[in-house]
Amino acid sequence: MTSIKAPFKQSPLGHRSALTGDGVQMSERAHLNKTMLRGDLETLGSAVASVAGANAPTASQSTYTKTCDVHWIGPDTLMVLAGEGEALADSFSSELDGKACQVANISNNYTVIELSGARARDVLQKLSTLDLDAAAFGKGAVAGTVFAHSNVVLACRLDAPDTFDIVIRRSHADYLWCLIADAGYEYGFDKQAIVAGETLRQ
Amino acid sequence: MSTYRLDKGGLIDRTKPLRFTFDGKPVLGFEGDTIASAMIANGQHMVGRSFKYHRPRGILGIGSEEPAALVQMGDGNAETTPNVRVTEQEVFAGLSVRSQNAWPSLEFDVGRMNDYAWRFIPAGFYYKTFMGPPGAWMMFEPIIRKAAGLGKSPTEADPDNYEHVNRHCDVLVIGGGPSGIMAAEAASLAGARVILVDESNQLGGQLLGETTETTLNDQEPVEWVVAAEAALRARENVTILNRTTAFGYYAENFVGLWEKCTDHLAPSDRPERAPRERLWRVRAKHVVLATGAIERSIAFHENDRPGIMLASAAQTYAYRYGALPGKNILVFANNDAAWTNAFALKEAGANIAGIVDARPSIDAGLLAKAAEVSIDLFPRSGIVGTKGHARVKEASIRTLGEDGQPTGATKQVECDLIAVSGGYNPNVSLFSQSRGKLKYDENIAGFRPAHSWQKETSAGSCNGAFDLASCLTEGVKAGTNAAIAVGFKEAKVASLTLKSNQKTAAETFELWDVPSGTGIQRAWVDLQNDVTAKDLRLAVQEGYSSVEHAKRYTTMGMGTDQGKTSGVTAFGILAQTMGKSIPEVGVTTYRQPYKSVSLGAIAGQHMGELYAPRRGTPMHEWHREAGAHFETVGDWLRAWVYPQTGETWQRAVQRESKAARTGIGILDASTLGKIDIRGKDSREFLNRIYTNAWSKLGIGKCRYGLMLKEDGMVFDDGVTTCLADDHFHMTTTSGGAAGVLSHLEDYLQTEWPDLDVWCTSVTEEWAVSSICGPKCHQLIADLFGDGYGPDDMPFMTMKETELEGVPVRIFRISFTGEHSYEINVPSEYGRWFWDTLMEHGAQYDITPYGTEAMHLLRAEKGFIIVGQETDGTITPHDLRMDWIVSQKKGDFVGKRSLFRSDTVRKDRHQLVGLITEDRSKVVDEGAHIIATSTEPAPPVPMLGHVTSSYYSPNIQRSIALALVKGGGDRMGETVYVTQRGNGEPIQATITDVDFLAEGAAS
Repeated sequence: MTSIKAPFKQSPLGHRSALTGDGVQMSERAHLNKTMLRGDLETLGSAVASVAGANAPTASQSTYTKTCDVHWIGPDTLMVLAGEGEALADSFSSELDGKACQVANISNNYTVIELSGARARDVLQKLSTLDLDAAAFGKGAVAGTVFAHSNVVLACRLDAPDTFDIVIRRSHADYLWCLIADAGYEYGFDKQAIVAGETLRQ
Repeated sequence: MSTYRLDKGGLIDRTKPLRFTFDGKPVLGFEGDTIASAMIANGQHMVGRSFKYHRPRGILGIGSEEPAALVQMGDGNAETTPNVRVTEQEVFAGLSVRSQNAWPSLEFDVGRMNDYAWRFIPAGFYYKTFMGPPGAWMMFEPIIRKAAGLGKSPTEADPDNYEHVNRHCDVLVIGGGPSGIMAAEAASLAGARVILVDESNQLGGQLLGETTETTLNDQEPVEWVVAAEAALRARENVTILNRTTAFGYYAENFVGLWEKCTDHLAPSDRPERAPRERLWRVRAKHVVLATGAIERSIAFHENDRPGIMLASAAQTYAYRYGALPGKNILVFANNDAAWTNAFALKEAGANIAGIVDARPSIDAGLLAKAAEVSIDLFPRSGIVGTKGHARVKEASIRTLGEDGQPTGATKQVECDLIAVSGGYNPNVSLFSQSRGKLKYDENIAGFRPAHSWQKETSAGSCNGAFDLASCLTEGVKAGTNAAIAVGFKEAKVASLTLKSNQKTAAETFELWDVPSGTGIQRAWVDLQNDVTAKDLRLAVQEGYSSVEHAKRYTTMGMGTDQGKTSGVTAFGILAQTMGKSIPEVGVTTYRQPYKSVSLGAIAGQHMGELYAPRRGTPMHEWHREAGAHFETVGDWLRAWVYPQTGETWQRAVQRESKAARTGIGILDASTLGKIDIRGKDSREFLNRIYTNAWSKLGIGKCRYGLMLKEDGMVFDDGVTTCLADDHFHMTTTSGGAAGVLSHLEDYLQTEWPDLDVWCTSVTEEWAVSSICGPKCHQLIADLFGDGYGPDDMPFMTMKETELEGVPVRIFRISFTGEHSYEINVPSEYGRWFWDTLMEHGAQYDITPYGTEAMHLLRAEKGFIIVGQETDGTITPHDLRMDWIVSQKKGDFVGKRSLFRSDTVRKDRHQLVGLITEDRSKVVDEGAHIIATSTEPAPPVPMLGHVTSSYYSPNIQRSIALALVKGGGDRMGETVYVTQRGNGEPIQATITDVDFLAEGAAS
């Protein structure tokens, strides 16, 4: 066996630096552990209770625990976000073994962009058709929606005011990062040049 | 010198002069002026020339209703904006505007020759040219384009920023006049989230042009507006948008707003980071329309000269802008409102040359007031002609008889402005866009809202209530009811004391046009498109009796103003001509947009680099560094070919393809769609989704499958692997991934909810490196040790392992026919793993190959590409892949369609191989296949077409795949493939599709 260089990880937005504007900040929550749970919500709920020690969220809400964030994605779907080291897919898999449901590790399929600050809602409102008024989309709210050409999961966190997690597909992350930077330009974000310039087939 | 500028009054700041240029000549305005008010203050009414006849055009209105006073704004090739209404554009220092449609100059315009030829360019000229004999339009078009037209489009890319903003609210109030202010007040007091939008630079609407005789709570109108606005702005639940037009009212109370953010500021004053324009997409629970009323003109002979203006506009220029529109003003009216305007203009310092009123009887109080201030009266009279070039200087007046025809002597009256009022049209455009039904009101001789379809209320003048008191109370009522309708409790709105002597057009005498009394009447209805009363009558004569047809025939109301001032007048004339009532004739449909919206605002931020995602794989940067050329596959950018220095892409493809069969080729296959399928009924699900059988696929085994739609046509293909008895890993085509997942979810949710199966996309969970070639198992052995060689790991199996602690799935599957592995690692390790393969593959001369070589390699093996060999009309049998359609298992999607008489036809197009007689001649993809060596006269009998074609470096000859009628039974037959241009058809022989098979290519 030959010697192999030590593995390194690359997050989808590893080439970007956090942005700070006047009342709005953006950064990547890289390398989070992510698990998709699909099945009967009661079944999934009991697994959430034993793995995370919390009740499963109700419709359009998220549950935040010390170890993970549990987002309600649909009537048969939950998405669990946890720290890099948390092998939650394995925990859920053993907890749900033999039950009618799906546990899928999607840690690499998505990344998470965090947008926060008093202006965060104004920035998001340039991309989202949802009602993002604090009264309509307050702490703990979550929604699957579309920002321009990208599907995202948007969650309003509980731990800080006006802090949002945007779960985005890996290959859409750079596009969305640049779109949000553009939306925040008015509030001081620097515009971000999209990764481009490839030689295209004539 | 500002000879028409009043010493005081108005909402302009005389301490802040702003100099701008009109056609290069300096004009002095003040902060608060529009181009129109500044020009009027400088004594100039003529702004441009008309579309068709190039007649001088002046300022008719005060805002977005203005039909013809349009200019080109800005001189740069990128920033210049055509068709800017001088009545809306605020002046700023350094602003440069130019008249449109005039050459070489506004005063001496060559195009006015059209005017002398007017008899030969009648109504319907364009229509007849379009509809006329073939070629007529081709002949006339260049001439028409030169002669007729508006402003010029910019020729360079727009450097400004535009953006979209989305907003929800409880109550959207459109229009910031007295009704809108009160509606916003009432709704916001009740607690509703309110958005109040106004087209102008400040709230107030008609109140901004009121005389100080009118008071609200003992405050002058403007003072009251300022106080009311301040109270609204102080509330957190209120958003006020100025310079914002509600341009479209769509379904479910979705309203488009167009905000002009910086065009009123000098470039140096524009906030660096502000967008130029914003498009607001508002979803409102309730809409209050307070869009006011638009005064209309009266069509009389020669009524289109500069200096002929709407009466309310004349008053507004004097009172809102301190600019007297004329010093000797003749008023022509059919209602009381214009008398109020006349008295106000007199009060402002103008001489009133007379009031011409067409009505048979006039209110005694008005007559007394006119006598008191010594105004000449011309009762039961009309204007029958005018004189003046750049500005009107004289009007001819005659009495109108019982029949409406002029009688008696003609009186000439000198004047420098004719203030006309033909009544008011409630501004029902948005109401109609919302699907609201209109009714004709004879009292106001106009249409007003009758029945609402959406959650919306009209208040004030747009509802036909013209007097200020009604506007205020209707506003309060609409705002209150809107708040209640969306769930708030009524809040008490402070009562208002109103004092006003204002007269309105609540009783309007129906008068659309005035006969000239001579044989010739050129009475303009549409000032932008040059449509006269006579044109409308001609349309009726020629049989265009529907208003929609007459509109298109005459181009009436089809200009950038959409006939805001002229529409109802035109319907009136059409009705009169047909001898029908106006309700019988009806109105043309009001459509979005209310006024022309810039393309910049519609595109918003979604343009240029941000137009669409550019999806890259985890190894994307490596491909860039390696100098790859990319091709787009959906939103993906895939490495297409890796040309070396000095190498053409064609040669690179040959080199890459050769390496993949002689050494090791490596392909980034990460874009393949991947779906995790889980549940105890997964096998049954796969049985129903794919054409082949899945019941017995063992754990760790892979199988290729074809997926059909209900019509039996191939929809997608890919390899699915059994990870556990209830757990499968499906792959799909790169472009089809999203569609396949939707297809699976669709069937699970709607057809087979009983199945215990769930699907989750894991396309981007895995980075996929595909290595191929006779030496690739050695590289695998170097990295992973024993157990993966050709003898240890059978074809179509998968093993899970680890490399340096990173989980790895090794699939022994092949898209090239060559010994091959597809190795999946978590995407975040994709680049590391690729680097590792490249480093350790160097000793085997590992060669990256792109998608072009991949296509070539699979064509050598005769493997299909969905979307290339299939086009939605191809069944598995057409592909001659009968083996993949299970005859034993139960039903599957598309099965029934495979037994239709048409799908079992023997002469369907079937997939075959083609080898050319001349091994070096590569046929064109898409080329037609015929049976003869020369192309016969059309219609040429077609046998089919080429789907894929390459020069194969591995068998050193041209190869192609083709769909040929009854191709399966034609093996060995000679056919001919046509060439582009006039090239001789290329001779070829039909073969099987696997060119690598023993003897296939000989």
